[in-house]
Amino acid sequence: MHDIHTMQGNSGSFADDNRINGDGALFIRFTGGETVALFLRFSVQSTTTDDRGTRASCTADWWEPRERGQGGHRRYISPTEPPERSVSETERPQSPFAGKFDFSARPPVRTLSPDEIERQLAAHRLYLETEWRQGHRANFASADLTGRVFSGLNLRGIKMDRTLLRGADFTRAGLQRANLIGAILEEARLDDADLSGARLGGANLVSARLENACLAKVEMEFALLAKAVLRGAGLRGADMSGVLLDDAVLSQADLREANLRGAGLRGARLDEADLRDARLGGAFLAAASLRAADLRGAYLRLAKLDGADLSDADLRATDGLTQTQIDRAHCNGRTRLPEGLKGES
Amino acid sequence: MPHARAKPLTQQRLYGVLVGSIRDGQEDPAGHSPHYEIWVEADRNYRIAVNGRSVDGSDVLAHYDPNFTDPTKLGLAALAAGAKGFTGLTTGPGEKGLDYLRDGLFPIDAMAPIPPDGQGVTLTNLLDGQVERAKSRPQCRGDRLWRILSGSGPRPALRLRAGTGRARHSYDARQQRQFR
Repeated sequence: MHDIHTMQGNSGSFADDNRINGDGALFIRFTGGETVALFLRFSVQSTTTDDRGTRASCTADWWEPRERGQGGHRRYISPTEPPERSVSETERPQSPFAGKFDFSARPPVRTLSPDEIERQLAAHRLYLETEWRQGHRANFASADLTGRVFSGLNLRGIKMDRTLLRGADFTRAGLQRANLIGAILEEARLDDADLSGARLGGANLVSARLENACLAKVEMEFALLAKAVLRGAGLRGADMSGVLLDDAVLSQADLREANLRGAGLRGARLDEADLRDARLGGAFLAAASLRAADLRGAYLRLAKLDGADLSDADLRATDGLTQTQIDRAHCNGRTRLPEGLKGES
Repeated sequence: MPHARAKPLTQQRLYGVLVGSIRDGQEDPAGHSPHYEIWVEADRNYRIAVNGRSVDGSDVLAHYDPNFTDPTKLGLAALAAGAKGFTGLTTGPGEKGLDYLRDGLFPIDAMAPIPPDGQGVTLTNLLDGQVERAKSRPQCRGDRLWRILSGSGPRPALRLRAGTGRARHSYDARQQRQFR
């Protein structure tokens, strides 16, 4: 199957593709009806088309003033409808997926020699040991460091944004306040690492290991952590809004005051996790295991708890929790609920 | 830069909707095809090729909705509950196919360029994450919980049976390479 994108507004050799009511899109539908959607088009495709899907600039004259105007008017306009306001480039989100990250600079992936990597690490070590008087901060941004071993190193404040670190070993490494925005850390090993205050927005940590890692106050909005192992990790005060943690292991993790708004935690294991005062509004917790989890004071408005296991969990003083949410979850006789709500045993 | 064509003008194509279960997905490992490939199991195996980059370097714009609620003209819920497989649809005025500009599916001006790999939430790691979700629940594959719906038909190079939209031959690596 090809052409999973819009099929109108083409010109040149693609003009024969033009049609209306014939665009392509991708929908993935999950248990319970949750659906994600992806729509794609090429920037050269016009979004002003007639009933044949032809670029408006090739058809009626009345389109043309708008096409020649500032930025053009790039959408379908019915002749009976007044034109809508066009949106300037500066008003657009920078990322189609997160909408929060600045992807305007697009440096290519860098290949560094082993000697250069060692020089940078030595300079960084000196930089830290002399309290910033000598050496310099290592900058591995956009470098390919796949599979590299950094275990036990002090990499505090290192620049690794958008770095390729698939399978890298950071066991017991010091990565406090490191810049790991957009880094590819799939299957990386970060057990017992200290990432407090690090920036991991948009990073890919699918299947990474972060057991007992310190991630206090980490910024990791929209990061991908599906199937990651965070057992016993310290995530107090972390900003994890929109994070994908499906099937991740967070048993006994410290998630106090963490921002998990809209996070995906489907099938995640949160047994004995400390979620006191965590923000879980709109989070997807379907089929998650929260056995003996402490959710006192957590904000749970619109959180999806379908099939979630709340056995022995403490949900007293939660905010925004409704009976409907509880009815869809599994409780036992030891589940403690806010006043006025009843669980089934 | 002209938008270079990568497929013969004489190709016949079939538009329609495919309903099936995700089995796997990855960016083309050979690196010379600008697509993210998803293996979908329906009445047979299908390869879904999602454009991550254009053939001429022009931007690919995307809009991603993690909680899409519009049922669309197609009725997504009914489709997901129905039979797996490909169903052809006609295009043009008054027809049932999707239309980005006329259906109000999402704000068209919210589409933004996809960043390249290694630069945050790219198409590759976004789809990797969703595919991982599918792969992590193998018990769901057989009972239609994982669905992928597509709005555009397979190329005739996949040797469609006229009028059915179904590939005559099963998915295999040799055929994939043929159509890159």
